[in-house]
Amino acid sequence: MVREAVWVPNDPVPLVRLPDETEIVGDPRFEAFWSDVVGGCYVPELLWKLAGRPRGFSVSGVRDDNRSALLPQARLVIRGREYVAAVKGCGAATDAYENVPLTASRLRAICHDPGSQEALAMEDGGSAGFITGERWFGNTPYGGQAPDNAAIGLLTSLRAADAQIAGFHVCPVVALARLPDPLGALASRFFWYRRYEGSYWQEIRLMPSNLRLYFHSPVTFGVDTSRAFALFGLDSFERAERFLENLARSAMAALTLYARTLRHDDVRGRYAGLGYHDVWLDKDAVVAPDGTMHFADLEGIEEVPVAGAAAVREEIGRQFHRNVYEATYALEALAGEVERRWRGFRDATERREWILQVLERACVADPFVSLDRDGKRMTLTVVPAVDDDACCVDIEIASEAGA
Amino acid sequence: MDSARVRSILQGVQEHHDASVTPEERDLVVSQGFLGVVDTATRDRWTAAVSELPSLRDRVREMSRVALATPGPEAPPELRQMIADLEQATRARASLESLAWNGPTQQFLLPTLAGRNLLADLTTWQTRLEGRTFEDFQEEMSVYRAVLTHTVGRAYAVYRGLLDDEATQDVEMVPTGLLLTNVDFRFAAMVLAKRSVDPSLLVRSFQLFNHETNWGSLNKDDRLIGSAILASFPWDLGSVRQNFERIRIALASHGILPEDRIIVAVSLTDLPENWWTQVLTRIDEIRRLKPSLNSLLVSTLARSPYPVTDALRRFDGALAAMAAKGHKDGIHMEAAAAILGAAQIPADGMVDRFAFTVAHVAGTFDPPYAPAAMLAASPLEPLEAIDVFRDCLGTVTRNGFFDLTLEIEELALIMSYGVAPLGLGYMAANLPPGAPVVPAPPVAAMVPAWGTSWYVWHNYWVYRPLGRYIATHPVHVHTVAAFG
Repeated sequence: MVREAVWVPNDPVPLVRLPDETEIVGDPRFEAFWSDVVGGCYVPELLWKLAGRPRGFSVSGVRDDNRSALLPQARLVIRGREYVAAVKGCGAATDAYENVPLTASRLRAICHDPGSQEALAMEDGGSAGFITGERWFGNTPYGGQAPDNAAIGLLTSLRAADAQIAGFHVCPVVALARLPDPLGALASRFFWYRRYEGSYWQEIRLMPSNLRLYFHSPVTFGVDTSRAFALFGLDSFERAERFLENLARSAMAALTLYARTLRHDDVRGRYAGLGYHDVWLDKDAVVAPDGTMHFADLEGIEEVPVAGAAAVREEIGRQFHRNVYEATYALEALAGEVERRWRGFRDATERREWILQVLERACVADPFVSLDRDGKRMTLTVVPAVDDDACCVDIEIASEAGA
Repeated sequence: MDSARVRSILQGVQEHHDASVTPEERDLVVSQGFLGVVDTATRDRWTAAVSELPSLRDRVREMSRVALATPGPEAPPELRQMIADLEQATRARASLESLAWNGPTQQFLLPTLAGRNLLADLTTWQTRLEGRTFEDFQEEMSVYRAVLTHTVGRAYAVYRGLLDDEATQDVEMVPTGLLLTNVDFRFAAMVLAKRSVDPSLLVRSFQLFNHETNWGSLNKDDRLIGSAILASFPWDLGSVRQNFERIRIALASHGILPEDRIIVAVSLTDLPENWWTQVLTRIDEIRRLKPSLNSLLVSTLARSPYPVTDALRRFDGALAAMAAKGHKDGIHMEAAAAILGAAQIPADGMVDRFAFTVAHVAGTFDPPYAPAAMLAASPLEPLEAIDVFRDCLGTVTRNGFFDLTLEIEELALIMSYGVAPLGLGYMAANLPPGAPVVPAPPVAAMVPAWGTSWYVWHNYWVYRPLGRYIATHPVHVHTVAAFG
């Protein structure tokens, strides 16, 4: 049975698919999908018009975050779970320096191309996103995507099999698409302060939903838990418990990513595992309809090399504690909603005990972690993929279970 | 079967005691899903599976690591089967830990979620069960919960009516800050839904007050609570408006500042006219004795059934007792003390009641003092009042009568006023008239007159702070879109 993808309704994004002169770098395992179904890059309709309307096909996307759009017509099933394609870097909806829509009139104010200035005067005040040439967050075009960031995402994704890396679920990047040079050149004529110098790329990734943990979605799991329940059809305690099991299992995998991807580089004599760089579970992970948390922004996941076993243990602990609050928040939000709807717990202590019991059960088959109760205390033992004797770490997950 | 017996059975199973359940009793509770039955063979099978659990877990982990290190997308079928077995054994362990032996039927009994919830109901309402069979109890609880659902359905109808009506109004001339929002309309709809009349009549009444009253104020919160309460009275609308206007004018000569006059007048509009003079005199007296007291609290105490000196003694006593329990002072504590002081509950126990309810709503409301006092002032026992509130929370949530999660608790608090199972509902027909302003011994069993006051307190101490929060913290305020 296929578990269908779910997405939160949001503003439509008029895009144009350009099949010609688009350079694609793709994951060969998904070639049929990116060549036949996705088939090109996706640019904002306004940019396409300003570029002289090269051959393309209108596509209606659904806004996801500021510079991404879902393509609901392009979906793929991986191991019984449906994913919907999303383009990251298809135009920002919001002005870079003010919390207002990036409208045609605002674009005129940052346009350094006289021809486009004139054409923009004919446009109405609506906003549907635009790829600009403003250099933003390092070396990324605002509204688009830079090649190095996109490549990091793809390289991380290539390590995944069936959308997971050793139990850590990801939104796989199936391909990178480079905008045809004339469009990139045009986009680079729109900037506020600093002009981005480089090529313009997009990431095509697969997402089981666009419901994030706390930020950057019209509906988020932490803020609108009740809406999330409705969206995912969680209409009974039993369903909610199964959902919690999946959420807890996948969250634990995300918290122990470094350990589960740990390897030893015999040449350099160092260890390395995957770590998070400027990405967080609250805004960069989405929750699938079955509760499995998927990390979406793979451009922020890279290897962290360290020298010895002590440093590995430290990194495992650091990664866990850096992210555990966000994961716990999601579990608490879910349990709180369950209590509101179906009660079933005498008090908050019993509710938290339930979370820990489900967590323990969810992780029982996980080869990289084990959870042990000692009285009211719960300890997580993280067993890394290599050198587990030297690099194994115990982390207190609850000082007094449920209290 | 007797309700107390059902409770004792469920309690026994929950605590893993032999509950000595007869076959007839077992059939009754099992057929309704309150308990599960597990025979000895199944229990033995589970025990065997659980004893294998540690070794199976180790084998699964080992094989998983090998499988992950081996190229290929598929886990070996043997491993998949072992993981399935492991998951089953883990569930069996959880079930095994919950089993209770039952001698008479030579079976094990297993608690269920429905059974746990029934046990909670029976425990909460146990002192009210006299003369009721278990079947009666179930029937009454079921009707009560159906009524809650029906109330939300009616609130939906009123809400939709208010939205539709608003869409036909010429609102272009109204500054945005004065327009009522969807959140405001849900608040009003929940107040109005307490009256079991045609929702369209309630909508018309609300809009009549909203649009055709000379409020003399730009405060939309005043207009909202005023229109909701005035429209909720089951009386002639013209008389209601006239009474409101007359009280509001009268308040001007009793030292109530213009900015407080609407909310204070609304809080008194349900009083019969022959009580006005006495209440206004009491307002003067309280203001003389407590010049710095908030006007709404003055009116709360002025309409209490106690003489002014008693009411103020109760107020001061409540404040002191709350301070002794470690609660900080401040306007919200004064509000709680006034609500408790005016409540028809004995002075001795009022702060204990408050301490119980505040422990349950801390974290639900911020600050929790006024809502905790409102619940403590209920004619129900505090545990019962909290239980009704939780039922309302669940009903609002399951029926999705909100846009923002933040609204759920405040809507549930409005909804919880006056409703209770087992014939304990204390709102006869919409809002009861005010308590007589005559010295009266505080008797807990008396039906109090809290309809109007309850909504006003809610609006002032719960809804307005929430409204300010929502207005100043748009959803995802911490998100800067351009960072994504």
